[in-house]
Amino acid sequence: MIALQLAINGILLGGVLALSALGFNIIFGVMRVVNLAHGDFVVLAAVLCAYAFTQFGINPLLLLPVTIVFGFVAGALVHRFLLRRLPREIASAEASSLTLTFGLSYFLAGGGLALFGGSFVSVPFLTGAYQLGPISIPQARLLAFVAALVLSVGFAILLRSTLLGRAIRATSQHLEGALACGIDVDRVRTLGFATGTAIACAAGTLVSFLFNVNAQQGVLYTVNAFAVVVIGGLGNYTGAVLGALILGLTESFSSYLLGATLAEAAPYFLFILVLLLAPAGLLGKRAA
Amino acid sequence: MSLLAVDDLQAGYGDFKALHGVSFAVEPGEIVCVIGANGAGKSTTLKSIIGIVRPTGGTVIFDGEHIEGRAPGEVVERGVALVPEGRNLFAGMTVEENLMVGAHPKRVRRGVARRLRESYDRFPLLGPLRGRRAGSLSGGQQQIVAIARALMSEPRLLLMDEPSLGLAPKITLEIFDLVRAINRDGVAVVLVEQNVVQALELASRAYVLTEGKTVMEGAAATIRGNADVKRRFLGEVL
Ligand SMILES: Nc1ncnc2c1ncn2[C@@H]1O[C@H](COP(=O)(O)OP(=O)(O)OP(=O)(O)O)[C@@H](O)[C@H]1O
Ligand SMILES: [Mg+2]
Repeated sequence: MIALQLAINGILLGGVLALSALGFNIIFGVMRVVNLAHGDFVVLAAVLCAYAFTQFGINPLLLLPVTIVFGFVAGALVHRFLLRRLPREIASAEASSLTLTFGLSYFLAGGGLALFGGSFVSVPFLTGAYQLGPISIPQARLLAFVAALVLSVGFAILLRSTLLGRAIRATSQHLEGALACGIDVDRVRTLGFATGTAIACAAGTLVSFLFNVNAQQGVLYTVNAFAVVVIGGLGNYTGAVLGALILGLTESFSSYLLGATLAEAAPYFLFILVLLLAPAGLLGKRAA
Repeated sequence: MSLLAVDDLQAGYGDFKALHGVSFAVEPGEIVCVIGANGAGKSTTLKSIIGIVRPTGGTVIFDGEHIEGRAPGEVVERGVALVPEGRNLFAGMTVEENLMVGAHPKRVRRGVARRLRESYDRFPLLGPLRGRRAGSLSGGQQQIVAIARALMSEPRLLLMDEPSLGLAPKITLEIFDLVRAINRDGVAVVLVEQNVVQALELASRAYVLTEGKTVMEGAAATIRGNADVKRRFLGEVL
């Protein structure tokens, strides 16, 4: 019974992990850069929502459109005015954009600390649980799962059925192929970075009523997203869903069996395991 | 007036200079063949025309307008399309999605459904494959997708970089037949090929590149009969 309970907890957690990883994956796809500021956008949105809830009693779900737009604009500005200005020599482009997102991560964490202080905040929102016999399903987790599912499917549909979505996927899959088709790759990268950041902020909104957050915790969410996409295969959207489930389950079981502190090592552990055994990810193809 | 006039084109990668002065012209509706050894700069020439590689010197005039240094989006918008070496398909996307990306330029965005239908009419093989991942197709099928994708933008000039690369002789013949049919519809073609004999049969004129320079030009038949070309590209012992 306890195993079933833990499994349900893990799967529910996996929804938010999958959403966050989708944003991370889009940015990796169009930029070939690991966005080290990803988790900082997640916690920034979470802290903002927690602040809005405690100060003004605003339901975090109602803030979703706000955080999504905020993330989109912030991401577009970061790409347009920072990442795009980096030198383009093939050899150094990836290293310099990695360094830039690393710096951005510190900037956001520091900014969050200055604005909101360093204490943990949470949103006491939907604190009840549904009781199904011996299984209890926390309302907040269920809601976050459903919201994450709806958002992930929504973004996935946009990626499939819109001109921009197809351009983002084409650029991710073959840069020169995309250029040959006349795609304005610079623009796609700006909009792709914006979309990825918007998704990070959407995930953060859901995180606000799942966990205690503070602005310093970004790295945790970056590592989670990174682990999820590495498990599934970088750039592989379906693989990321699998990766999110695996990480969710691992975190759920390990925090019960090993305690919350050790459970924080779960993503690192999975990360290393996957890199050793299946370096291209569980659903990944060996890079051509 | 030539449809395309490339004059003294220079380009490279970082500090490395690959093109030192490539010049050639394409008249409306003709097939021009470009031959040269491995590394001579054939692909770089095509990429510089479409804008994937930024030229460092020289001019490219398409339909009377300078296009050197312009972004690929603008060049494709004006009516040039590239079938890249190695095809460069979007392997995880379906055949149909690949074709739809080919219709990215504003000029052809409307009426994508009609263009898709025309594409399936022209390449009957693609219809049944439309839902398949491009990466799962055979080499010949992929090449046809790459050609169909380029045609989605309704180009007046089609740049083809080794369309027969890695294909069996029989499939190569089919691809050459397609090139001929596309050209008959009025599309001018620049054909870069290793199958020099067949390519020269298709082309009206040809250019030879050596180490990033145009070193020879002439009617295809003349190039075909040139002793140096015979020795270097046709493996004929004289
Ligand atoms: N992306 C690149 N970065 C650096 N150098 C490159 C790159 N692509 C090509 N080169 C170099 O530029 C020169 C011209 O290459 P290019 O690909 O244009 O030749 P090619 O005539 O198309 O050869 P092939 O018949 O092998 O396709 C070569 O010396 C090649 O090594
Ligand atoms: Mg080549």
